[in-house]
Amino acid sequence: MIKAEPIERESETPAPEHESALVARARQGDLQAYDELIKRYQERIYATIYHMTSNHEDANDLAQESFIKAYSALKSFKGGSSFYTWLYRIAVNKTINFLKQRKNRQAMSLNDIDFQAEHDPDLVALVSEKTPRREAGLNELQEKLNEALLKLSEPHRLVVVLHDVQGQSHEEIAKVMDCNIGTVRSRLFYARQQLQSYLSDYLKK
Amino acid sequence: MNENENFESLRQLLSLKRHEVPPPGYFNRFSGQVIARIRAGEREAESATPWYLRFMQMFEMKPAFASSFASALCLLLLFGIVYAEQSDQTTPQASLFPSTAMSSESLVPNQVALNSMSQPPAPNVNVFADSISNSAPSSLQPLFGSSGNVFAQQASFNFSR
Repeated sequence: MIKAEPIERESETPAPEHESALVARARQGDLQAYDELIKRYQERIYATIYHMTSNHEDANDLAQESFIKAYSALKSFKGGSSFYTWLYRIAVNKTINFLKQRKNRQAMSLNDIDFQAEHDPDLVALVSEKTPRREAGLNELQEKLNEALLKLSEPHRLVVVLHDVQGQSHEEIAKVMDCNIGTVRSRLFYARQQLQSYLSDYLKK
Repeated sequence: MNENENFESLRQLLSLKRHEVPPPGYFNRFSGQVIARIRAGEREAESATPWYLRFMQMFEMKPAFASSFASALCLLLLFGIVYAEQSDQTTPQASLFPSTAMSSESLVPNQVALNSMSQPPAPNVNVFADSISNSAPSSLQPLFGSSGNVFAQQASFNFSR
């Protein structure tokens, strides 16, 4: 089993009382407060949707629609979970519904890889060590990785994205997916096995 | 080959996903676009919603508005009651409710009744027309006069044909 690395998040989770104050103001129709909430979570919501769809344009539309839907449904937000978890559920459900509809049309529109990737120790190790396809550049690896992810079912892909890419804990994922932790673990294990078989040419042996 | 090692290299490969970033400046515009779409949706909804529904929505959105509106209504009602009472005191004759005490006007029918007893009845008077009425008595009109006295009326029967 691999361990989930803590992800460096650009914006830390805000203090609960501050978030609840913003949510209360947004519920009263204060769009400035909602703008602040969007700015806090836009990167994480967008990234999750993008990694699920492997398409920037779709991720942009779905992320915007998720925030719009969340705003219109704020009255129904009871505060049982954090606003972030609730928002995440909306985004994830919207994305899964979208993916089910576009089953036969999986066009990728990938974002560029930032310049920091060349200095990422994990990627340096992966490319420089003796892999079966050591000559493969980062762009080719990116394409193959996204293709492999798209072959997974939506729940399995979501678990991999949330845990291995975004660094969320099993508990957080269970809350978002509304299932128990055991289901999350088993899905994660199965998804990794699948990915490993799809990407065997690009993984060192 | 060991399973952990395989997952370790998979983890390394998956770390590539974190370096996929949207175009520069994308997140600077994102929230503005969302807010613009929300505002556009609200304007559209406002134009499509009837005025009375929008009025009701104001109560849902702003409880303070609802309470102030209710307070204003209560004050208006209170003012109306006080004003009505004041006008009653200034013009007691215009009271809406009849006085239970016997007034000078209530004595008039009794006097009329007494006068009719002392005088002989008019000939060919249709007795049944006076004593029997098809119309039901109104609840507001006492059957035996406002003072509760029974009126006596002399009866006469004309058997001539």
